[in-house]
Amino acid sequence: MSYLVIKTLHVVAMVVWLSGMIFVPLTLSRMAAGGGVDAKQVAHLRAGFAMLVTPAMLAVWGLGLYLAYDVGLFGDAWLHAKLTLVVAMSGLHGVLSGQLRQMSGARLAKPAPLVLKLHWLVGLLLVGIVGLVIVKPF
Amino acid sequence: MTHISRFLTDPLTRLRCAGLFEGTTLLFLLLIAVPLKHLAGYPGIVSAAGPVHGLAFVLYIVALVDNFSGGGWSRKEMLRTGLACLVPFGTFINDRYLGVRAAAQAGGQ
Repeated sequence: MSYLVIKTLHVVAMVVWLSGMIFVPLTLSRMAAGGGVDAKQVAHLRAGFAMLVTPAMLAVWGLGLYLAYDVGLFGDAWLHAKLTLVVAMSGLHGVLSGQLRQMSGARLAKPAPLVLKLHWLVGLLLVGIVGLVIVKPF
Repeated sequence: MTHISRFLTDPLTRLRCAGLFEGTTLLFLLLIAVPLKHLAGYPGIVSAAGPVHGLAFVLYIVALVDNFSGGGWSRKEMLRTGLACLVPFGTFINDRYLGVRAAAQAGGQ
């Protein structure tokens, strides 16, 4: 497959992943502000997260690492900075996944404070990641 | 088929599988790829295996945070399981503890 096709799939997967990473915490924070989360609704959110958002994250990593290997970018410092931010984003994905599991099983009444602000963190990381890719400052 | 559905639904099984994958790629890098690069002059294997190990490491970190965020882990367990991926054979040794935990979980259900 050509470089441009893989790059397109990488960007599409990234859009799907980060859409979920912003949508889910935002929905949870709205639910919490509206009087508490409903385990059944969270179970629906969790199903969508597991079916769409997690595979998108795996695709982002797989395609991204392949691209970096194919083009020979592993010597570039900006890529290492970007990878650090994407590892942090993946960690937030894990936090969200664990919280969704607990809430859908009614073992947690409301999301942790971090989850209520998580969409802001995702936005900040996104600015850093896209900035590093476009500007390549070092 | 049962194993696949268990892998997809049980976070602890996902962590154990990710740990074994991460540990295997780390050992491959350290024991095969790096010696081949420096002793036999084949740098291509490190270049190819590096990103695969990177992916395995990320899968482990995501599975790790997913489990910790789900609750029920002591600080000692979190520290041990978190550090296991940084040491060769660490995830294999830690898998024994995770196996005991999985058995306890299965017994509690």
